[in-house]
Amino acid sequence: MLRIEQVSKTYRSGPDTVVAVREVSLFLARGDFLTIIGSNGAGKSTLLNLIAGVVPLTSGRIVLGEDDVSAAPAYRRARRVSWIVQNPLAGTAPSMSVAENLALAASRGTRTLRPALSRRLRHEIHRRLEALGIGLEQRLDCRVSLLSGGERQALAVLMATLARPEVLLLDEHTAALDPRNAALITQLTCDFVERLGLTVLMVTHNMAQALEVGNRLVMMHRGEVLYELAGEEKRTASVPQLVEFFAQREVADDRLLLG
Amino acid sequence: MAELLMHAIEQGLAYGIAALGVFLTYRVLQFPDLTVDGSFVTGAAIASLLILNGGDPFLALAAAFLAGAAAGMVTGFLNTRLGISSLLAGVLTMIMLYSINLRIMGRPNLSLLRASTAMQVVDGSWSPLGPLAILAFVALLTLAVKLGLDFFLKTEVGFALRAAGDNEAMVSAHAVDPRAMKMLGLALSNGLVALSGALVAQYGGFADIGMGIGTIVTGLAAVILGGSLIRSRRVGWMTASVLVGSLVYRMAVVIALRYGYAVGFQASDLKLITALLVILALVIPAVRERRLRKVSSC
Repeated sequence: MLRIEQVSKTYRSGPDTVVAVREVSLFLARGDFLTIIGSNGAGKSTLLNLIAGVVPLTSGRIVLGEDDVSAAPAYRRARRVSWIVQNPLAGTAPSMSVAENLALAASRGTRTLRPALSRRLRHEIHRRLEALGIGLEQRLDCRVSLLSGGERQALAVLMATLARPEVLLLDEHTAALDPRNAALITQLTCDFVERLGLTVLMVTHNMAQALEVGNRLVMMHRGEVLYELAGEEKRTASVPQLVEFFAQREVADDRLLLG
Repeated sequence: MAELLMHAIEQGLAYGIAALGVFLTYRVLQFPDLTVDGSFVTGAAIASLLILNGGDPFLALAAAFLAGAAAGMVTGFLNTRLGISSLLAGVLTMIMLYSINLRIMGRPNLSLLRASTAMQVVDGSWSPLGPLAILAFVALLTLAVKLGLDFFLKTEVGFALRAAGDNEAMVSAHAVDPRAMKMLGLALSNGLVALSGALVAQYGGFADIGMGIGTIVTGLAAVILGGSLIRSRRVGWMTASVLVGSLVYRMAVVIALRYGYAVGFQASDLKLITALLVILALVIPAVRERRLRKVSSC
């Protein structure tokens, strides 16, 4: 489904070079749900940005299904790859209404000069929002800038999955929310992923969450993938085990351990 | 006085099309585009040249739109492909257009007094309307432009354009190329501004190299004035507010020109007063917003 081959990203500024991602290779089968943990500067977010096409590759290849998308700009990959970032303000158009934002997400891929918000689509949007169970269906015509962070992120999750992508990239998308909302958004995300059979990469700094969701887990450090857990091994792993593993390799930092 | 008022309305509507263009860049795309000071004249120049060479005055309006759209795409190219900042890209195109407009016209001023303009055709063939014929024509054209723009902004592409202005980073996540949206918005906007220039030239009976100076400011005046009179987030109301703003502004201008001498105004003070008006209109809502930040409704 998604093949990441020897992918590297180097940032240069004058004489300094920083290798953010160093020859990472990963293969994800359809329906795989991979969580990525690692300390600050491990290259987790950069890796997702490389897959999304937001940041250009320095070297390596990214193959989606049968297609090499290494050189495709983000907006072209977006027909098949969705992404949600940490900042709830980043994923929605603030001065447009809830319904308008969803209509924009629904017309992904084929954009015409037909009215964007037909009565049928409005009805469909209402139904989908109702299913979220947080009352957003009452606020279809409300500007998104007036929603709370949790509501905006719930909207972003629905928008990211509405046009049925193949791959979903989650970059600490619950980290800016309070615990109750974070749990809600995690639950929503997992529901969608399961129902649509999406292939997912999720960056998180919360080890418990990384163990709880998904079927695979990798740990990144200084741009490289150090360690992978999958299947039975991942199901039975515990947070103390992970912590000990990190401590042995002296790669843990406070954020990772306390998160 | 009634005639004065009628002229103010005619001008308010004709310039209102340019204000809709400014609305599209400034409000929708959030791209402060100074190209309009040049593309307004380009529209007037192209239309005048065609009419003086025996061209159809209505087709001349369409030609002006296309020329303006091309000018807008130059600004879009400078900004999105060459990475020049939005303000500077607009200024550069505006300066280039100054030379190009002189080339088109051949001299700084073209008179259409003896030519067959749209106004003369309308005046002759819509005679049952009497003196209202020109007003009716300008109103119909402006209304058609407004409704067309409303429709466009509610299409799938229109949504993408609005979202690109709103949150550029977010639209690529929804398979929209933000650069293409900027190009499209700038093309449409400057097309409308040039159309307005062509209409104003035919209405006034001349094209002049200096007629575009301050188009951005009068456009902004209309957008901001209208926005403070009609507060709505609905597309149809927003474009309507721009036209209302343009009408109110023109009436104020006509009254100022007519009676302003009493307080010592000259016609040449107009730009200064307009700019001061825009500054005031920009500052007042910001101050009010600061006070009312705590209360917000759907």
